[in-house]
Amino acid sequence: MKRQATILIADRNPHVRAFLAREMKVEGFRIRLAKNCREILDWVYHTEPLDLIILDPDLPDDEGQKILLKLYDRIPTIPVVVHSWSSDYAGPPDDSESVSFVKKEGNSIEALKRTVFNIIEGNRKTGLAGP
Amino acid sequence: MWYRISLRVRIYLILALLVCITASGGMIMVWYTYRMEGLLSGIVAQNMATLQSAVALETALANQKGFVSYYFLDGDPDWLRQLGEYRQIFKQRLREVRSLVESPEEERALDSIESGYEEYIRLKDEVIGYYRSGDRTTGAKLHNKVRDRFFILLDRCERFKQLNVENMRAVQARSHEQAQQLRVSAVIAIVAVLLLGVILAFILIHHILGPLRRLALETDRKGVTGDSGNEVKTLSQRVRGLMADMDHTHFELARSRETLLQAEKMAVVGRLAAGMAHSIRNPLTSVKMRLFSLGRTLNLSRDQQDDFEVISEEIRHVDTIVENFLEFSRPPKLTMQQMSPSTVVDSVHQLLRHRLTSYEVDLKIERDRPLPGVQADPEQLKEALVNIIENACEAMKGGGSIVIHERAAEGRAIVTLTDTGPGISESVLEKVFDPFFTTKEEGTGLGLSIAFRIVEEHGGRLDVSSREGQGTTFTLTLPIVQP
Repeated sequence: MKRQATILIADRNPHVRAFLAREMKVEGFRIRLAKNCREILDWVYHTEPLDLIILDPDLPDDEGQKILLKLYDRIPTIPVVVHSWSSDYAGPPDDSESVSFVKKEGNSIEALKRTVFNIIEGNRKTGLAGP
Repeated sequence: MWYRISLRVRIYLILALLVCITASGGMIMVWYTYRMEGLLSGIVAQNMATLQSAVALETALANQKGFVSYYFLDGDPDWLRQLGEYRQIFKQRLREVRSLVESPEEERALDSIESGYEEYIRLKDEVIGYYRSGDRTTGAKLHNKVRDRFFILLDRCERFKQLNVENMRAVQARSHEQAQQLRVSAVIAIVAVLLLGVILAFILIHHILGPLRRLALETDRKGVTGDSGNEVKTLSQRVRGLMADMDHTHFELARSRETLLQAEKMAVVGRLAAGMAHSIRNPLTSVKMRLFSLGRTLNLSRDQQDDFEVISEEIRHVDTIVENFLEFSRPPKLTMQQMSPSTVVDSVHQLLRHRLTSYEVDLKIERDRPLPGVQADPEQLKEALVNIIENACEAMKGGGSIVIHERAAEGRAIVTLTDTGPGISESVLEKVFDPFFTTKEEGTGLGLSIAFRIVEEHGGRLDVSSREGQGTTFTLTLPIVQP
């Protein structure tokens, strides 16, 4: 039986978090929210499995995008979509294939949705999860 | 001891000695001429008079000879009268001589002559008495004796004359001796003056002119004033040059201190502004997202639509300013490689081909051969050139042309970009590289600042020159990598 895919949205701005959550919920995803690194890690270590993380690494309690490394160490296979300004994003750790990038803009929600769908679709084909 | 005395005192000392020797030498010479003159005139006046008197005395004595003999022969009493006259003349001469002599030796000689003459007169008178009385035989005998006395007296007179001649010779010898002493003194003075002159020349050359010359050469760092042959004049010229340099350096120092202070202030303000821009960007993006979301669903009237578009446009503008500012405030990470700036020029030409066409700008590249290699980040250099060219295109409203000229000179690759735009006024020209300075309605004022900083990060220079109405030239200079 297919289960609903769970997405963790991490962004320092509550309005951005709320907007992304609203848009993704409409697409049928289950949404979890995190406003800083500590909350991300809480969700990651939670019993509930995550299917994807939408992450803006510019978080209040992070320095030098260490959160990406921590996620990669904890669950290397979890897909992460970095939703950020290109000038703030230094690239994936160790050329990890599980990290995608969507440039944060006014209309980036469309690109973000496409990327998320593609990843979830790809994973579904391998029998992992789907909306 | 000598070296403990200051140079000024040494020179004064030598000059004083020189003046003393020369002046005293001259004074001695003047004194000597007076002395010689006095001596000679004394000798001539005194001794010559004495000598002449001595000769006259001898003549007066000689003239007395023969009268008594004539009287003996013819008995004429006139001979005796004449003899009496000559005797008076002799006595007169004797008095004259006595009044002239000074030395005791001469006095003694005269005394001897006088006493001898008295005796001679007495005997002679006795002879005359015999002759008068007719005793001619006794008279003749005594006359013979008296004749001997006469010759003794004449000899005494001759000796007195010789004494005078000897006196004159002695005076001559004395003056000769004094002249000899004076000559020796003069030779010593000449040698001393020469020696002091040499010492003075040595001090002047080694302690004054030599150091002055060296100082003049050392101070002439630019080697432009040349050697005029006058050390003091050359040095004063160079000191004036140094003072001008110092004034210039002082001015430059004050200006660079001011610039440094300004730069420090700017750095603080820049950090604050960067933090602020970073903070603004986050809510701004949220606003953009919500606007996008609104735009998907809103059904607006024409005016509302116009308002909505203006809001979206202005927010985009604010976003561009924030983005550009953040890019400017972040030091560029240069990935250096050795490459020819000509390659970057070509790729910028290729990149901007369509944009140039839309601006109706014709771009021409003047190049004899590709420029030699420089250490550069091609992406950054490309951004700098794009910013400069876009700035030129925006300035040339209604089209124009840009000429990119490449040349290598003095170990530098020089790329000049000249446009046919309206040019930049002098007041604006000094601000074109200032961040946020713009004359355009929608400019961010960061394009040329970013270009300037990129070139500086490459160890090069970006200069601008312009005249209103005659276009603008940007000159990009980069150091060539030495093979």
